Amino acid sequence: MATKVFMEALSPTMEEGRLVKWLKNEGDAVKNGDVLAEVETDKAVMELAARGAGVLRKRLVNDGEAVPVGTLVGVIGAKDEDIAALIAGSRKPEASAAPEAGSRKPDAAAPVASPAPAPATSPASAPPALAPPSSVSPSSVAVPASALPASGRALSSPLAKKLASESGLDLAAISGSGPGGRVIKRDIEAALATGSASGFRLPASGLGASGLGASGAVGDFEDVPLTLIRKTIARRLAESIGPIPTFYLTAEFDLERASEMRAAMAAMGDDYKVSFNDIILKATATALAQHPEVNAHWLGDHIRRHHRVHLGMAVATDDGLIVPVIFDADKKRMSEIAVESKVLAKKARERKLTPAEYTGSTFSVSNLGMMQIEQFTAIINPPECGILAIGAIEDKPVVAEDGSTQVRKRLRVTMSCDHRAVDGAVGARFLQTLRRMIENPLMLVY
Amino acid sequence: MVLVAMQAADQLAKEGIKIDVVDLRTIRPMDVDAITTSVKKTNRAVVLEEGWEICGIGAQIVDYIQRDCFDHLDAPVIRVHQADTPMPYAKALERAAKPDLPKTIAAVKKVMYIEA
Repeated sequence: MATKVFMEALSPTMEEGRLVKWLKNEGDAVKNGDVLAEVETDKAVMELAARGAGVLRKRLVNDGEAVPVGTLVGVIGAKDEDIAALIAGSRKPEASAAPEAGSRKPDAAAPVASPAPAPATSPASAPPALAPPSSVSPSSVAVPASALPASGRALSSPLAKKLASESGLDLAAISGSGPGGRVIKRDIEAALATGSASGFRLPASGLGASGLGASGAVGDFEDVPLTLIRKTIARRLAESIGPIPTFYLTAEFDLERASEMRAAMAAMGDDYKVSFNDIILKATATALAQHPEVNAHWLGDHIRRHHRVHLGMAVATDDGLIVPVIFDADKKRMSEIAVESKVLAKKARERKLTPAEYTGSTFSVSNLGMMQIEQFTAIINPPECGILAIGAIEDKPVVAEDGSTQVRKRLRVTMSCDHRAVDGAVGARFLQTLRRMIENPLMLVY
Repeated sequence: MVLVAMQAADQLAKEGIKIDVVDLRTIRPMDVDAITTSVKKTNRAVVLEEGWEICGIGAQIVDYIQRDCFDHLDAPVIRVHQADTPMPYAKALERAAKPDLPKTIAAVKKVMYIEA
């Protein structure tokens, strides 16, 4: 029994995957669980494993090609099995393959599971003597709905297609009432009347499509195709700045004592070295444990306050930003946080993070201090309700309590808050706690 | 066949379906403009002819329609014609083989996407 190999959803937010490299050639024997290919998801490079045994008969996608989740990318079967029928329906994402890749059983991918997308037998191929007695031509109107592919290209009459493009409707977003789900004139009219056409889009201007096709440097500029991670960043951040009413709280902390502590620890040997970032992460996590109203998720119709602190730390990679998570950061010792943050940052740069390692954060920290940014505002990573932007530590003249002027190490942090969940005073109280922690680092062991 | 077409138009008018009947009268010259003007107005067509399906004049008419009105079609063009068999001698069979009112009405409903 042949097994279809689909592009699987290897991360919770994955919509398409780029097949970076096939690790098996056509004709190679494969066992269940063998890694067939490397796939770049929106976050990382993952492994696509075989869900059946036999011989990799066919590779339907080339190295480097990106296809939507659910697309047939290959076929595993016996050496001499006829797989032509399976391949005939390739390139059409099958709805059933999309959501939970993990739980799918090999049999589910068996060839019979999907309707054969081959067109229904055309009347022309039947010998004339077998033509139905009715003299009405059995034209394609008679094609039963089930014989047509359930997904893929939106079926539509030429008129519907024209009307849709004129009014900027997305045909795929309209459910057709004609045979086999064909979108016809009345469906377009209904969509326009009710405004239910969720798929409003700009009429295709030649520019978008052709511009991409001709990617490459042309003197004054360079077109860089969007990587999957870049697309995800754009989508997520636009989602954030749009609907989230954000406000910003900035505070300047004194790091003299933290700096003394760090120096004292470093003097004890390399084993005890911690960075300012580790101190800040630890302090933030500890402060969050005391302020569950900030350690929360905005979930549209309710706010979820988390009792555990899973601290996301933004890491810059060559491809863009990713936020690995230090789970239960408030319960971890500073040395553990120091080790873990280093490991996570390294994995992030190598794109080896697993989805479990970058999802589930309850609050995030972004640090640009090492780039000599004095102060900045970070964009909230939804559904979180806050993010802390850490600036550079600088020597500044400060007027001390006794009136004298001293040069001290100072740090500016800015907290972005989702006002729907966190009010100004709530955020400010959190920053007060954080200040107490950072300015008196002994509090961290209290 | 014009008679059948007019009867179909009358009967369907009672159901609220308004039909253009284009009576070609000649096939050479063929009044293609009259056909395409009507199809562009209604977005669909049924071609009715007393003749065989294969190599029929109706096939040529459908060809003109798909060529000139492609973007205006909301349904496949359907033909109503004589059965694909030598014309039977028995009167009853002859009647059954020829295009008639019920077949025409069924075809119109099909291009209107109305369940018969």
